[in-house]
Amino acid sequence: MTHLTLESLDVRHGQLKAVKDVNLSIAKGEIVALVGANGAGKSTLLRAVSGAHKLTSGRIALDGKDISGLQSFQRVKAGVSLVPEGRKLFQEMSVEENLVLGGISGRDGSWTVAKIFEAFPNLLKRRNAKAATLSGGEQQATAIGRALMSNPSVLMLDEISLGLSPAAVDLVYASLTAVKTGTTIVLVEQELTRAMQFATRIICMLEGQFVLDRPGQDVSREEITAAYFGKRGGAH
Amino acid sequence: MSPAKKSRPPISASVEALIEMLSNLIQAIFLGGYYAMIACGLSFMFSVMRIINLAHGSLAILSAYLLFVLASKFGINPFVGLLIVIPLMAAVGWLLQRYLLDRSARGGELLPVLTTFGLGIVLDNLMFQRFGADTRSLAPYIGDLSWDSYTLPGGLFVGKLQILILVTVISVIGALQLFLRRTQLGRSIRATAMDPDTAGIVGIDARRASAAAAAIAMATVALAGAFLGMRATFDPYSGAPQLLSAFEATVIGGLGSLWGTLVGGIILAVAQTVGASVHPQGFLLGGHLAFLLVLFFRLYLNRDTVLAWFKRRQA
Amino acid sequence: MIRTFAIERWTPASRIGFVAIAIVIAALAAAPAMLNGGTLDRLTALFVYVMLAAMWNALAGYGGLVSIGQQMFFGLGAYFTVRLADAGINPFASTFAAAFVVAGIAWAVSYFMLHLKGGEFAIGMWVLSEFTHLLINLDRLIQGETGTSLISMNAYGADIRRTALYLVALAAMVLLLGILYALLRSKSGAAIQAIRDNELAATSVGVDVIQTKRKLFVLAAFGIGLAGALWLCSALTFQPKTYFSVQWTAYMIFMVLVGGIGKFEGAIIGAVLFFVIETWFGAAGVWYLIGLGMAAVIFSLYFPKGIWGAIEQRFGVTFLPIGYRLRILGDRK
Repeated sequence: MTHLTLESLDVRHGQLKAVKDVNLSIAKGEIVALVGANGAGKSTLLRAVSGAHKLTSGRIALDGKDISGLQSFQRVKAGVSLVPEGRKLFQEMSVEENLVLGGISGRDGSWTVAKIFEAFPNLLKRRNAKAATLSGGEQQATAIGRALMSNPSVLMLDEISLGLSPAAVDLVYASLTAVKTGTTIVLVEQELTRAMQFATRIICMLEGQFVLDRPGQDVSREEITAAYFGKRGGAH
Repeated sequence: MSPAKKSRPPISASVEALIEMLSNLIQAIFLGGYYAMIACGLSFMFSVMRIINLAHGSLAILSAYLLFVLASKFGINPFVGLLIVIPLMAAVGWLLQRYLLDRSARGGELLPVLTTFGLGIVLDNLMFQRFGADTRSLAPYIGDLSWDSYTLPGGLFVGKLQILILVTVISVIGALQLFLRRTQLGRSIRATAMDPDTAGIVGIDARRASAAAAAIAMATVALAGAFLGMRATFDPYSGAPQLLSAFEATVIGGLGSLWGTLVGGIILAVAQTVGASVHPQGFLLGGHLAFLLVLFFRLYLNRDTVLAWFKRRQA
Repeated sequence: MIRTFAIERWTPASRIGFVAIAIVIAALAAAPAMLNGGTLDRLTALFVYVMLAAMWNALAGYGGLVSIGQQMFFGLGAYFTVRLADAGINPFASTFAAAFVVAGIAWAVSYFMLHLKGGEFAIGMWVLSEFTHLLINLDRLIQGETGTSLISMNAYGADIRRTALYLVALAAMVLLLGILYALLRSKSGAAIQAIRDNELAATSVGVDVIQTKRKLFVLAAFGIGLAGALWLCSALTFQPKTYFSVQWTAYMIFMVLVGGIGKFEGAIIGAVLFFVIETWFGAAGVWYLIGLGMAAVIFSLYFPKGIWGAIEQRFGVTFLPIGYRLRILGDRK
């Protein structure tokens, strides 16, 4: 049974159809990278799966159970967690408060505040600092930690390298690699190299649709780039 | 109502004036404490939901009437009555948020103003319909407490009820702060206020957090209504003046700060007292004037405008 | 292929509407010849209601400024009329003069109050209104809540006074609506609607937000002040409590919410509806007020566009258009 299934997903952004008739099956433990130009619909798709954005039509199933009707906080309890674009930390709260809040859904699992600090040691000395005072890399680490606190079975990450220095991105991905053990991950990543290094499966989106969906080892950079820009011959 | 004056050694006129001023100041501080009680709920609602509930005062009066009915019809002491009325009003707050405010807040920033204003009018007039125009009070039902006082050196009197109110409001505000900072529900409420969208993504039931906040706010309103009834009188249309006082205390102390409502309440009461000493009609005028002045100074004399003014002077 | 189009400001329905409105105004002007004094009085009240609704709508519906303190200008309009009439000026002239004074006060006040946002502005205006009420009470001529009367009106016979007041009120209403309509169709009108839709975006295209809001604020104060002055001419007595009562804002909110907020036609419909309800149910005392309050709540929650908004949506009709329409004339090779 697939872990996460999307069936005929249509998502509107105002009057614009941001996601058009998307079908996707993800198996447990897969790491899927969503690539594509700005405005291709990647963020909207993640937000729709997390419940932050309303579905126009279609169905989302987790372990076979339909979660399309659940609100976002209910989906977190079901095991779907999103690290949103732009981090969206609670600015007036400290790192620790943000993390503690992340655990509010009360799901069973091994993540605790202490373990998060182990995984992201650069956060430990900033545990009482207000989120607004953190550097980009620290904010990203906190946001990921906050999502991990819900012990998700599906972790979604939206553009975690956005606005970060290359060194900071390295750090974040290093930590992610250490923590990902067995979690199903869907991430939106603009940097193709990183996406190919980190993911087991690459999906390219263009104008709301999937134009490429291949296992990471079977696809070349050139093929992805072609699909990215909409040149023919990219679809599988 | 003052007890028989004991014979005192003759004091000079200026010391007497000083004592009178001190007495007024003490009274003002306690009045400020009452204002903080009615204001903290309003401030709390605003911080959490960005809604100014224009029915706030009317809901306090409703609480007072409920306690009045319990006392006059069933002989229940108002303090005991609070055990019923506080949970009742909390439930009212929950329902209000869930079915009225949540919906109107989605319509934009302005709609809740109109909705709560309409609600206030409905409440005021329903109470008038039920209870008539007579002013009521809870004082007859709390026995000696309504006038009992301690005597301080210099012939100053401090009412026991006043002390109770001040102590209660300090405890309530302190408890609210602790609640917001240390409990998961408190954190959820703060997070929902900062960013309701992200709150959901993190796993917070934003609607439940808002409803809980409204329930808490209404619980404080119930207390405020009780205290109003005990220390003074009320009638069906007392809600509006209460709302204005609450709002003024909140703004003077700084929107969004709970302790600020205490500071603001005291400043408001002091301004009113000063106004009253200047002119017989000056009580309310003094308060409104203080409010407007604080607004003026806050708008025009913040750091940036002062710096810009200096720069223009130098140019 | 070239597609040709025309930019129009009127629709066929609106042309008809305009003619209809002109006919109605002419009929109203001729009414004193046919209707009795009591009816003229009631119609004068209707005109005042229309003015109030239009002005509150202008402020809230177009300017996005919800104020619970507009009764301040209503009271001030009446107050200055009393004062100017007491100084010897003809009472009818006093009404307009008073309205200008009120507008001046609003202009000064706006430098202060327009920096407040949302609920703060709403209640802040209410506080300002209470403050003004208390100050007015200090005027010895007014004698606190006892009030005084517009004595100089007694110089006119009752019939002449009624008719003159009726015509002046009609003229004032048409004038005010005309000014508002012209304002909304002008560049300022476009600015107003831009601000209402998205203040930040409006600033980015060069709209001076504060100045535009100020214009609306002053106009609304002028209109409401004039309404208060005219109300005084009809009621003759000035008791501050009546004129500065927040009830007036409650009426304005009802009229605008039910009629259709942000719609020009909506304010007029709301006023007429309010007038009808008041005529029938006004004697019901508090139930009348409870009904008004409930209507405000229900409409704000479930019918935020009001009656006219619903009609416009359903039938796509606009009688008094403010925007621009693109009509495609055809295609040409």
